[in-house]
Amino acid sequence: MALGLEVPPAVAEGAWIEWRPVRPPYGPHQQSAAGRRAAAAALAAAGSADRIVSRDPGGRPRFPRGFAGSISHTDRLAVAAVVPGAEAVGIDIENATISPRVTEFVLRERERRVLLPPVTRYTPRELFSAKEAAFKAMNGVGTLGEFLFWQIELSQSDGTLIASYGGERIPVWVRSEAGLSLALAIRR
Amino acid sequence: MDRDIFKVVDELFCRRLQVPELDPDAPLVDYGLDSVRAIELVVEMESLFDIHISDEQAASMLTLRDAVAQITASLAVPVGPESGDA
Repeated sequence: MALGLEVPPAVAEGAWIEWRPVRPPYGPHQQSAAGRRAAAAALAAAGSADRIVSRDPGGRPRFPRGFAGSISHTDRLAVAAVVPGAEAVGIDIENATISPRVTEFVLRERERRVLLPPVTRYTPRELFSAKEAAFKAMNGVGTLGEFLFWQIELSQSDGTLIASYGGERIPVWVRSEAGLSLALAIRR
Repeated sequence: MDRDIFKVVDELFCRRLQVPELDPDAPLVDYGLDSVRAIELVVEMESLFDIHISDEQAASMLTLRDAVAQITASLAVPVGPESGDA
């Protein structure tokens, strides 16, 4: 059985995605270490000689030049995505239950009305994860100034989830399986 | 720092983060705070203290002390300018 979720080749074109388990006792240190191991593996698969992911002063992972990347983890699982040549990438995994109050906080009234069932198949957790992934991809570019992930607006166009902020738009792919949601946003 | 507010927020954060104690000046992410729990804490604090926490305030709550400071500020009764007519 695969460790994480599969990403369709059409979505993951040019992307290297690696999963690593979090080791006991599953605390913040172990989660971060699993993320770094996943990132190193993704960088190796993508052909990067440099496999060290440092952190910028804001705590964001800093991938080697030319290898846009992103890391996410739950308390038991970490994933990293590297897309050589891309401008930025954002990946997010989520296994938490998103309460109605958190849904209301993160999704605007219009988003709740047009993106949640029965209008679409998306769950609150998938949309939460989509905003997180889009934020990482948009924030990584650094031209949009300071903003918060829930300020990103989601919409749907031709069956594709689109994240927008500050005039920038980026497609986001999401799926869920066995209590885990995965979102991927690539800014090519 | 308001001791009563500190006590309530400290207990709330310790319970949600499942830790016995918190260093008021340590980054909350060091205790495993993720985005879901961060927002849960924001909405819970809004309910507990009957306040509105703005996006900017929420974003600035990086430590327990930050959170207490923002709540204290939100609870402060705004004082308008003296009318001078009384």
